[in-house]
Amino acid sequence: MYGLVNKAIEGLVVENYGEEAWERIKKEAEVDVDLFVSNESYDDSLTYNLVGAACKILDAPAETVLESFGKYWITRVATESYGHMMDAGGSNLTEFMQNLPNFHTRVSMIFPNLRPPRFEVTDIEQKSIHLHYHSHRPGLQSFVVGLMKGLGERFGDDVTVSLIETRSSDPIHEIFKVSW
Amino acid sequence: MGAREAISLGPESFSEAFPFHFAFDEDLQIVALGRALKRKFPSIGLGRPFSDCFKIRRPTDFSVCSESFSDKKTLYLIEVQQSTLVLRGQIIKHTEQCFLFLGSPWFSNTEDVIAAGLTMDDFAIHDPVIDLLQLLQSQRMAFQDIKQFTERLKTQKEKLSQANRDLEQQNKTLQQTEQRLRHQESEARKLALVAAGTDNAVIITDANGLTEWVNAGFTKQTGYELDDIIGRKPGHLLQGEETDSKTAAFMGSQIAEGNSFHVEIVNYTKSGEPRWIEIECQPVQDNQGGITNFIAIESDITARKNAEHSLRQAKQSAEEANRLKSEFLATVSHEIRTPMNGVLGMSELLLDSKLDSKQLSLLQTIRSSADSLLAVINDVLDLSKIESGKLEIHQETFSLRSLIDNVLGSVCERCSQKGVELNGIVHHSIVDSLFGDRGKLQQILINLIGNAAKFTERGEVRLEVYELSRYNNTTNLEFTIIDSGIGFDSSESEKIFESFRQSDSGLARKHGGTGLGLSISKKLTEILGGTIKATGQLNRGAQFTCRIPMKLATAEQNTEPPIEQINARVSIEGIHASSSKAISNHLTYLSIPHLICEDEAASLHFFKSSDDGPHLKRVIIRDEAQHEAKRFPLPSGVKEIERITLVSIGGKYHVSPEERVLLKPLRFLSLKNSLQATVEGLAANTNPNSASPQIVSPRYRRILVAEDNPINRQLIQEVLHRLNLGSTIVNNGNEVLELMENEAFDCILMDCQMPELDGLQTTREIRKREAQKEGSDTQRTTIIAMTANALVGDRERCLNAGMDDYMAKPIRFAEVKSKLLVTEKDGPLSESSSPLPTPKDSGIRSTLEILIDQIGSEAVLELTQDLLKDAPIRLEKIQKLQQSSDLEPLQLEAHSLKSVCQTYGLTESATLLQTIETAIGENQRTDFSDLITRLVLAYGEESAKLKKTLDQLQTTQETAS
Repeated sequence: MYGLVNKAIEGLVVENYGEEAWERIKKEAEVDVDLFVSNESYDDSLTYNLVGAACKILDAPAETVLESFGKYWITRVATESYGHMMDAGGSNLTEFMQNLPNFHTRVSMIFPNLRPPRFEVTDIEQKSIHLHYHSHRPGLQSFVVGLMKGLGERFGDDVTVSLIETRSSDPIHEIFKVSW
Repeated sequence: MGAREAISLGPESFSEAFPFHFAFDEDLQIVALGRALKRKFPSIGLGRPFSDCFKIRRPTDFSVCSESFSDKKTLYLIEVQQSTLVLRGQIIKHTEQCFLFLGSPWFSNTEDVIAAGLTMDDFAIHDPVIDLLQLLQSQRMAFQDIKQFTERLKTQKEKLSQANRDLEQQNKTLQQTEQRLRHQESEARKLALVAAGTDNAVIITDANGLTEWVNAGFTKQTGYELDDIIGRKPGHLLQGEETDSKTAAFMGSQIAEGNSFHVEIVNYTKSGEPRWIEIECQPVQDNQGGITNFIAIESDITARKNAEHSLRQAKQSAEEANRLKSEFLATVSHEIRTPMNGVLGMSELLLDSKLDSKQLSLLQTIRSSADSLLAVINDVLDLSKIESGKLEIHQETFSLRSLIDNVLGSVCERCSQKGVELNGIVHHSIVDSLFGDRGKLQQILINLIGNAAKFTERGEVRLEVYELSRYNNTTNLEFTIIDSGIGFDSSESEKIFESFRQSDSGLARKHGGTGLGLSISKKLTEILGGTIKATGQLNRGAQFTCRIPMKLATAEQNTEPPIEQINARVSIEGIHASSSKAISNHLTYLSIPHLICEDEAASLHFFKSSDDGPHLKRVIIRDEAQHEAKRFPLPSGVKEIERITLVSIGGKYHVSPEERVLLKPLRFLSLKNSLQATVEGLAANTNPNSASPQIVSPRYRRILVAEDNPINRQLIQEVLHRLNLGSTIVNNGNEVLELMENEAFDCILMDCQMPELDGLQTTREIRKREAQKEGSDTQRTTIIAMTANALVGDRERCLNAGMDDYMAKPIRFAEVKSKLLVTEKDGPLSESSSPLPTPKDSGIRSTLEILIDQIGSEAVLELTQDLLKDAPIRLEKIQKLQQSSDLEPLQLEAHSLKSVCQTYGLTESATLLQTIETAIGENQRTDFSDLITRLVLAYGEESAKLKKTLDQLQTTQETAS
């Protein structure tokens, strides 16, 4: 994963639990990186280790950590790093959701080594959609939930996310119903 | 449909593919718009002129006309009017009538997209602008990361530098520690060597004081081996009976607190021998400051302790010897004073009788010898009083200028005899009325000036007084005594203040004196808070400078009337420089205008120039040497000039009775009185060659004398008779009290030691009775003590008992006279006269001669026979009384007999009796039998001499008659 993700984990921890907690987490994860470079690609295991260590050090289940991270990603990282792109992504949740696949295509053009998940939106209603999540990385559903909730926050909507279907395939295909 | 046709787009698809396109015809009117432009700029309607809607920004200076757009290769930047949106693209001529713009908005950052009010939907999917923007954004992020990274690096670098510095410091500390350790190690090695090799005992204990190691010195010192003491506390083994338990406890507490200590203590060797040991004990600390051991070094100081003990004993003996010496000095001086009674008293009485010139000369020698002897004794007594610290400060108001007059008077005779000029200069700015110890200041100055006069054979002795400073109520005065005498070696300037010292012992023989004067002066000066120093050169004179702080008398303390203005003008004519200066200062002090000049011409000029009214007196003060000087006629306007001549005692100058004179040395009071008299027109009566006339009147009319000794009784009676004073005489205190029941007395001369009721008790009783009668018209009786005990504190005892005054025996004519008579010029007595060679003998014969002269041979014969009869009985009584447990009767008897013996010059007997009396007074259990045996022997010899002398005198007188 790109350094931006790891930086985001660092930002989340430092902001909420302080430098010391972050250092402990790095130590626990056996990560000896002083500074993550946003545009540099890091091994996925590093990110997983950091999340695992965060769960241990902060004494929280992985779901909670990942969901918080998803929210943080939208409200802080994406807003700060791709703020205007996000703004350009749509003026309401529906619009944004509809642009999401293209959004990722664009991002992957910028970060050539990125293996981003793929999103599809179906069953578009006025107040709900089905979000299809295709990813090579396992165990990040809660992250997706966090992302959706973060978007809800961004557009001032109270969002609920429920996993309605997991299709066993590679990459993973999971369908969430996002309602607001 | 061909391929070309297949790719032609319908308007909708075209608008989807190019949402920012627009088309215009050759009239430059808008004919088509892309969906994004339509949405964003609804004002751009079809048919509107190109220029209303768009502005060509690039190429610049583009002329908008249909011809201009024909170049297909041009890249256009076209601004949408009334907005910030810039479109980038190309214009192609679609048909002959239509031009088509294809392009999309141009942005350099993502914010501009939002600012332009566009969304992603406005862009064609294929349009890379948004992605390029994002790429830029991601590059910016990378740049941010780099910046952050650089910052982090910078911080890290700083941290590293700090860490480096810390490391360097640690390294330095480490090196120091290492060095210290090496030093400690080397010290330890040396110590180990010393410990092994020293004769001192070295003990190393653990932190609790239990022995871990001792050296060979320990075994040598104590006899104990390491095995004897290991694991034990050294004190348990070494301390014993004579060990001071407090010191042992102190050592224990210091060990417990981890302190170092140093003690001296008695320890015991294995064989049980006590030894004095000096212990120096230090704790040994580890790196954390915890105590690991104690090291004690123990030295055997028994030899030193023994030496100290001997020294202490020697010091005690020396102090005891010194005390005995002081006692001896006091006793001796006292013993000398007592027979002086006879010598001085009789010689003074004798001087008042008719004598031929040879007798007068011999008698004057006797008197002056006795005077100087008394001065020596007084010096010794003074010094012993000062040294014992019993001298008190008596503060009173006094006139400084009168005091200086007295000081000059003390040596004027001696100076005039030698022709030495004597002057006292008191600076005019000095306040006259001071408050302080007049007596001590006078004694200091009399001693110093006496010393100067003694060692000056020609030239001048001068006393100068200046004020150094004045602060609040204190004036710091500097008294300088300058002489032109033999001086002294400058290296002696400190030593000459030592007791019993003259710069050359030969001088003492030549000039007499004890050499105590300077020492006394120095000590008295210090008592008054001042300093004294001497400078001089051999044969070039000496200078003594004394700086003493004095208080100014306050208005309440000052009893002197203010100085009256003397309306005079004075010319000081042809007078010795120092005398002129002295007179000038006095005149300035008295605010009298004056002039110092050489001759009368100058004086007359001075007087002529003055016009201070008709009552102004013009006075010339001139030296006797000017007597023959030329007189000038008085200038016009000067009617009269008064002349005062300054003359020396015994000078050749003949003074006519009507002439005004002033005696040298010039004294302030004489000058003032003389000028006052001159101004008031009083007759001159100061003739220096006759004794100064004194109008004498008795101070007391009814005088009572209480004296148990018959000889002394007769003597005092005779003295009173010579003073034309009547008196009543009684034997003891009881008789005094009895008599006073019915009779009143103005004054009682009270012997202190009398049988039955002594002088002190009697006085207390009299005062008690007076107090009871208070309120009635009973007058307080003046009581003056007469005592042979001229000891420290004697005077205080008398005054405490209620007496008013004090006369030390021997009773002196002058002293009795001054105390009982009032003279017009009641100046201070010259108590201290110039010391002269001391007489060698004041024995029985001379004493008897004087007695005979005073009270007649018959009385003396009778009294002596009484004595010769009475004394053996008293001696017998004394021998008996020594057995008694109550020694008071013995003391009284001894005192009484002593007094008689003194009067007759039986000095050895008197001394022994005094010894007995003193021993009893001080509660000493002495072997009186030895003393009394010696007394009987001494009396035997002396009484035989007395009898013989008496016979001789009788024979002489009978022959004469």
